[in-house]
Amino acid sequence: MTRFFASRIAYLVPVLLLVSLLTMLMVDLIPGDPAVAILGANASAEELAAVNEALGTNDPLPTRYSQWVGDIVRGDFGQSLRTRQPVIDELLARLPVTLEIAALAGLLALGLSVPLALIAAHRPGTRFDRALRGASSTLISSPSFLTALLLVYALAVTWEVFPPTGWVRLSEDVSENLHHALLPSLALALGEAAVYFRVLRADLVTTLQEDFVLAARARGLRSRYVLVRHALRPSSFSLVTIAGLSLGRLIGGTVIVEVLFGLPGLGQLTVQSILAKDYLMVQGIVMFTALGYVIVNLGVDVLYHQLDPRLRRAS
Amino acid sequence: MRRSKIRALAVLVAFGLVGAACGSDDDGGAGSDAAPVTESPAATTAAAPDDGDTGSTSPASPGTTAAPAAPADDGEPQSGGDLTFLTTNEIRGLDPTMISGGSSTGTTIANAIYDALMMNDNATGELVLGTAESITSDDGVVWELMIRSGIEFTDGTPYDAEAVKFNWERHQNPDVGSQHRGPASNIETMEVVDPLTLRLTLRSPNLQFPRTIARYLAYIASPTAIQDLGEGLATNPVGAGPFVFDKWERDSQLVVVRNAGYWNAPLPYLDSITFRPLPDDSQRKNTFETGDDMVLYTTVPSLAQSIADGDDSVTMAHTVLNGGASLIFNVRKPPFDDVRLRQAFAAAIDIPDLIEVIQGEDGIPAITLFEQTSPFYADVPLSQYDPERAQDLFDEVAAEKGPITFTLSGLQGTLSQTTAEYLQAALAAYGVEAAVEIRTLAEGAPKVYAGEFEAQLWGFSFGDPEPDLAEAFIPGSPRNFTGFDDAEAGEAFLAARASDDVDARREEYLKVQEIFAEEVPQLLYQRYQAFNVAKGNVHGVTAYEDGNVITAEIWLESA
Repeated sequence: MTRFFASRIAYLVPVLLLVSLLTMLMVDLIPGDPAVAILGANASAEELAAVNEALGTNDPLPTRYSQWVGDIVRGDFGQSLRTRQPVIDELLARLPVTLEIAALAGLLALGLSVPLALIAAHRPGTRFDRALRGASSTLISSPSFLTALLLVYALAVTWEVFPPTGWVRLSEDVSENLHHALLPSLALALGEAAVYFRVLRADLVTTLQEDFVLAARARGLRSRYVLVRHALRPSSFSLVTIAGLSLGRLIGGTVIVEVLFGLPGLGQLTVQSILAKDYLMVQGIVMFTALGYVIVNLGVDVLYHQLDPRLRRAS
Repeated sequence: MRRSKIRALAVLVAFGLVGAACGSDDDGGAGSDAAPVTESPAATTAAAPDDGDTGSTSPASPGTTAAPAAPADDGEPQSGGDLTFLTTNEIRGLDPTMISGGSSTGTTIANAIYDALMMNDNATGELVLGTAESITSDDGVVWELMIRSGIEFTDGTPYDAEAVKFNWERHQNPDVGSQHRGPASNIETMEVVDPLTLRLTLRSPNLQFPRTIARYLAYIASPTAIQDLGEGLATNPVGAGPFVFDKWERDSQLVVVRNAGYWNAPLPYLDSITFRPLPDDSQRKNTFETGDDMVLYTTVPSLAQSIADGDDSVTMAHTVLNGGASLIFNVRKPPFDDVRLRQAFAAAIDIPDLIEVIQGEDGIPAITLFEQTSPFYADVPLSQYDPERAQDLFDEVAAEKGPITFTLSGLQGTLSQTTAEYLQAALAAYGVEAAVEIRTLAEGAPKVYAGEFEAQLWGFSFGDPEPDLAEAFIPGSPRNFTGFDDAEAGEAFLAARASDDVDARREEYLKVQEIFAEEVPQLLYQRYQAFNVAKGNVHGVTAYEDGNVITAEIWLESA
């Protein structure tokens, strides 16, 4: 297992370097001038040139990239071109919000999809199963902003169960934090839950036809026991894979959800930074996201080993 | 729109103690000449000599008039309470060098934290003095700015001439990257005459220079804090305003609390204000409708209307600016160096129909340069829908120069896209082919600055024509993006700038409007509107310039 971890971590450095280089290239390809975000919409060409000169944004890309890598090695993520504040401070302030929303959405998605998939797969083709499949198709085909707006209308405006917007830090008030986090997380979770449900249900239906399940049933074990203890685990591979991959989708989804619900997370920052061509901030965001993505996928690999003893023996 | 619900406050109600506490009908006006000034009544009480006539004694001093009173039905202001102010966007930072003069949100917040030296009143064409006691000049080159005595920043640093000089020198410093380096660079030298008097020498005569101060240089931060915090001032500002910065979580909330030592006591009335940026219109509306003690800012008329439709108790401060959204032409190069083509555009587009399409019935077409409420308004239409004349002009140009094709550029935003598509379709009916290009601000703005466009959807709204309108059309100005170089218009702008009389300025701007109607450097089409919608128990919400609110005057009526 130690070798396994070591080999995975060895991948991390080149992955992050490649990601950062590609990000720098992509941000550089976006047409536009970062000085506009600093000077506003009523500047002059001379003022733009002066600001670009002062910021070094006119330097060639290799110069800027090597300088950025050098700074990162020293633990300096640089300063946002737009806000003049340290990138790392901004990231650390916003990361907990996005992580909480994404994690809560992931948990909600699993919490909703796994029991429903078990029930649906237990008796496939029933009215309940068909209704759930219909609902999941609807949710998968609905964009997250539409789901969010419908949820807001029902739960925030009509019944006033949740606030329509706003954020309270976990450190300030746990219950208020959850009160504000649940609606955006649910908006993000429903689409994911629908995907998880369909994948897990399909795998469960297949597994439930396997000989070992029939044998378990023949031994007189209760259906619930067979479902949870015998069928769920071997049916979870696809679910674990897509749940790991969905981190990217969830973080991507927070872009919309954060703007809609007024949450101070990475999503809003990403949009604003890209539009302003604030490449140092974009680099920082992408680095953090890539790091998170690699770590989660490392976790997924570990989970594979736990789920399937054959993989443990092989490694 | 149901006018009965809207207090059409396209005016500035001065930022002093208004209503019962002050003599709002007091006419402090002597010398109503250059860049006229409205004295804050409460400020007069607090800091002025007994005759109450401050800032108007010098021969060329801006004149002084009384501030309008708060609406009578607002009743006696009550102290206390916490307000939530829903805004459309987050600002870059709280450093005065980062706060845009044209940003309603930024200016409203800056007023709360820093107060302002002076402000422009769109409706009367006058200036309103704040922390400045007076500003005077005989020749428009040498100015004397007097600061009110006894003001301190919340860190105890004196708010004096030295502080103003320090702040303005910082704007001028190219290493700081101030948004207002251009306006500040009009000042050649600054000399502290005494602790409260700053003498400015401008690079060229400008008797309207106080308007530039009001628009771009009005916010003064504590020099001590600037030196201690450096760029940290952007997230931890120290001013002398009615409120003190408490905390700021970007894209979530900015909290300011009452400044107990505010120079213009008993203002402010509120204990605290939480500014919350909510970019999504529908969510801002939902938050407003489900919350208490709130003000909502929007520039979308239909949003304001839908809130008013759902709640009879809400009030609105409705601001309509001069100028507005327009299609600016690059007159330096083909095809729009041909005035016939520009004139054809002014006749080809049915502006009211365009506004109906892009903003519905609540949009306001912009046919004249100034709004009717402006002291500079003249009934000189800048466009007149006449399809036959337009077709004749297009045919004439096409016969001479071949088919008319051009690139119609716009900046990202729903209205830009819709407007561009409308214009594209409308012009196609005349045989004119427009290729639409919509770009981000970061991409599109530099092209405009560099003159790399043919026709561009652009906004230029303004309260007073100084400095923004003048800078946009004076030949040789770095902000003259159209390249319009009409010498007569330039002279009229400079004559208005050199005048200290509203009537004389009106005459000069009349000439400008007539030239614009003939030369069509831009096709104005839509007025910008700003709405500050308040819950029924929120009083004292008035707006000026871009819909900026003077938060010190807001008070909550207890249940």
